[in-house]
Amino acid sequence: MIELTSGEFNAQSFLDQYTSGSAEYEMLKKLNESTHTYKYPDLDELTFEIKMRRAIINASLDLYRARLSFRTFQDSKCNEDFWRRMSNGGFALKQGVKASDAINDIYRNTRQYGTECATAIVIVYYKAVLEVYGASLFDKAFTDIVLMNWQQMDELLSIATYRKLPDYIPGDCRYFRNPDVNPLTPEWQGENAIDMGNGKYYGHGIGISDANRIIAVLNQNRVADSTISAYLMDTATRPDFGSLYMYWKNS
Amino acid sequence: MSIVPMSLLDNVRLSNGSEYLKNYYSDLLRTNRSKALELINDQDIHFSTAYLLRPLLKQRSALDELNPLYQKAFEISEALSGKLSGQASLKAESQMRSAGECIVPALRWIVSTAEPEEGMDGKYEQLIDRCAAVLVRSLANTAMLPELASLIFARNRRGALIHELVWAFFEARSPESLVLLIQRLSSPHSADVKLAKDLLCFIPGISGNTLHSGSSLARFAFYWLQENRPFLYFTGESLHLCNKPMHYDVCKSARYLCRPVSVDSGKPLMRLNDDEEKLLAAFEKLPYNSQCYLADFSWQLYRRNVYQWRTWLVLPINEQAALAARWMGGFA
Repeated sequence: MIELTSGEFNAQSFLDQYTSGSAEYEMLKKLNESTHTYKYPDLDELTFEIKMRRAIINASLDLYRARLSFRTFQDSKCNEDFWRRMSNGGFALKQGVKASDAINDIYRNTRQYGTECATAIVIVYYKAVLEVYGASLFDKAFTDIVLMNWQQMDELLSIATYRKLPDYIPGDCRYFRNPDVNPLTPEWQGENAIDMGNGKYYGHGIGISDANRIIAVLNQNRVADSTISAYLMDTATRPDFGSLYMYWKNS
Repeated sequence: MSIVPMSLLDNVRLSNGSEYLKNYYSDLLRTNRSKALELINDQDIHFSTAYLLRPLLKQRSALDELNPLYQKAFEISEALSGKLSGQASLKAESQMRSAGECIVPALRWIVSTAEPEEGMDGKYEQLIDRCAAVLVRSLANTAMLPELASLIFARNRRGALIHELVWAFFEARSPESLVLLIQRLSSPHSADVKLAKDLLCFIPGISGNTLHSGSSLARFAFYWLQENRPFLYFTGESLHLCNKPMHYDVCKSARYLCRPVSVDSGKPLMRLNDDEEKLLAAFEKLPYNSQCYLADFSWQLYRRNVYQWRTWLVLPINEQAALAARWMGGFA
């Protein structure tokens, strides 16, 4: 259930603001019907989180449509006008370049980019924050972006991985693990995938599909005689929506 | 963290760079072939140096004159280099697995003398990653984990990609090998210490600890490992999943029952009897903090006095908790 420190929460009237069947509706329904209590200081912060989660889903959809290519770190590529390719295969924002321009360029000149699945999710997070914050605030907040899967993340995003959660909400990043992966193709050891709602996931390199298909694709990349299937782990990775909200509110 | 001896050609490369080495060796192959072959067949030569000279050896039709170990290593590197996807990668992996023990010495030579990697390209690092992964995953060879750990930390100091090597290291599912990481907590290199802390973040109080010296953290980590070894299991988390994966976890219910678990599954190695199953069911219903507390108490009592432990364990769980609360002070 949802609890507001500021006062009583009328779940139905809040739900009525969203279309039934939408991802936002599913998010709120899950939070509200949970046996776990989700506490928010006020309605604004809850609304912000819902908006951010929607933006994550939209940014995933846009990246999928832009056809970002899948490449391992050894083969990663980027537009050198905006990013410097590091020796480990990650991308660092070039000095003098606006972070908003650099993130938007990935969506605009997508053919010049190629990376693996975790970095794609990080790109999605930055794009989602850009959409919610707007370019001006985004550029103020992020001056030193590194895109290298989950490493060297900006503190403001405060991305954390949670285990054995009571609920998994659209906008979460889930992980499909492939325990019997062919060791020669470790890029298939698992797939980070954004929960798009309605049982669909976006995983870079696989696309938008249900959990069964993602598992089937991973299973195709196991060692020859494997009998151990890929599976969805009970983890969820999320940015700290509370921190992002506070920065947005106080700016 | 052993020191690996080096050959003359390794020293030429280290002192003068890769290009100088290639020119030097090319001239030597042309002017004094037998000396050139003697140098490349040096038992101490590093794979990284030999790898740089391979095109010259091929050009001069000298590959067949290498010793059998180095020939095998070059065959493997040929098979595992470049783009490997779909059926090609499956076939290559199957071939490596079926070759079994006869390719282990060559793979170990590649991984243990992969350094220095400075100046090598991403393709080379990918080849080394693949050789390490085949050794650990396909051939279940854990004897090379010390060399693999050295490679991980050396690469990390250069800021190069370590994800796949770290993945291979933990895929060995060898809690004993954690000692190799714990040792780095007292390294003079700050990058080693930071990486060791990150990789050992499943040990409470290690990650982000700046209060204690490296050696005291290492002592604590050794103690923790000894304490929890029978109950540790591999979670399957990796750097692909998150920034600080919890590679291992302690099975609290097993610690409570004092029954060791399989490192692969976290399930008890021996079948539990009916009484233990009932205890387990009651334990699982407890809040997380109570589980931690009871598990710690039970394991301590078991090691101190197994007869007392047996008497305690047959009590209802609320009585166990009450006694544990009363006795706990005596264990400090």
